[in-house]
Amino acid sequence: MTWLVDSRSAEETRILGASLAPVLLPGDVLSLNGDLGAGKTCFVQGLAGALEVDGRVTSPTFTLVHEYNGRYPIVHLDVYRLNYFQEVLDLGFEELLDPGAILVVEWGEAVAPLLPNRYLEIELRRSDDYETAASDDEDLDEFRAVAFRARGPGWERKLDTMRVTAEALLDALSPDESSGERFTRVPDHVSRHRRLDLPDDSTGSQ
Amino acid sequence: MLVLGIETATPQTSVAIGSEQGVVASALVSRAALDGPQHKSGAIYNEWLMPAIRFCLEGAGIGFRNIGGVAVSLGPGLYTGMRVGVATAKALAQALSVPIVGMASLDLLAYEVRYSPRPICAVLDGRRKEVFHAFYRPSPGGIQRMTEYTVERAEQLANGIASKPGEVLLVGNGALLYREIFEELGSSVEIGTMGHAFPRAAALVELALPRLYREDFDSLDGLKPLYLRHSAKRIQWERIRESRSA
Repeated sequence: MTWLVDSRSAEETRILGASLAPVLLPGDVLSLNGDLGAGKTCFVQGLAGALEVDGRVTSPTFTLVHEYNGRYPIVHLDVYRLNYFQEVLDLGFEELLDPGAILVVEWGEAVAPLLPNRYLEIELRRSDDYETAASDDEDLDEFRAVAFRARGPGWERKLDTMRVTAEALLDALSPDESSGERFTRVPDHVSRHRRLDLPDDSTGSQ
Repeated sequence: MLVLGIETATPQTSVAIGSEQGVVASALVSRAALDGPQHKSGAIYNEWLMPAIRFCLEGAGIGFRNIGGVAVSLGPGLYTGMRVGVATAKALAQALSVPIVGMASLDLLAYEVRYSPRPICAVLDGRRKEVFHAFYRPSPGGIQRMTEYTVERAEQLANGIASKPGEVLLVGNGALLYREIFEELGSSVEIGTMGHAFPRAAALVELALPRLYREDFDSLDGLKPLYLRHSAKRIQWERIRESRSA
């Protein structure tokens, strides 16, 4: 099952990240997907801020791995510049999956075979389909469709809690425009945010 | 000759300085029993290494100039730990102009239980439900490795043991972690206790000394951690892009 929500601004994307923070525990893994400029880093900024990380949270696209210390350690990885699974392993991926830290993997769908059975998939898309949905005075460039998809057990309930928080915070951000529930639930098979069918056992163990 | 031994390839990290007369100083820290939300991730053990070496030198009342050789555990084991250990050992060997020898973590494990009458299988946790392992048989004055260093699922190792006749002693944290799987094999399998769960720098020093004396050194350039996992697969970026434009 997938939950979809529209983010109307970078600020709203940050709020979505922040809403997830209270349900996160060390050992949790987030796969964060979306084109360059879709707001992945924005989402992590919101999340890290809510986990009391002080200091700047920036994109690890070129630095590959960032580590932050907040309420829990957060490891922020970006595989965008990598071309081989071996390069991901060479970053010490096994140990980045630390039971004592929260792991956020940008472009996680590309390395899905390396991810554990249980993780949360998040996808941000620029909304090309909003010509009709948005009124003239809104900035279409800022619009994003954000999908949350539970992979493996445990995430459904966390998402329920996250949604309640997010609805309240989004409401508070723009009380005038509040128009009922922002999240909608879609079965996976109609979601265009579908998971890639990647091969198993990419590590090619001996 | 005083040898500095560094073992950082497992959740139990240790440093030892010793000679043919035995260990003169050692330091050991373990996160094996500490993993969990309350505990900071493994990075602190990498920061711990140089202070631990200094602690050992001071404890023994010697300086770096007294070190005649460096020994390092090459793994298999924890990725970051192996890299920190090997890089530190190489840097010290080069700076001190002393020889370096690398030993496999699994050899160290097996060496410490070499008095067992049974064949030995050293098993370290490889994460992802897999173990690193190798089989040994005790031989006069030491051990002899019988199989390649291997990474596979604990069940696969158990099947391999079951398919062969005879008894075996399993040692290492991998044996303990998957104890239930191995215990199903019955009484032909004995599992070593927590005291033998991790390779130790003291054993490393002991094993390295004969090699240093017979000048069986490793080259600084050639010495690398023992990585058992390889993947030649490309990340399927084309498919990701296709699915996005779909």
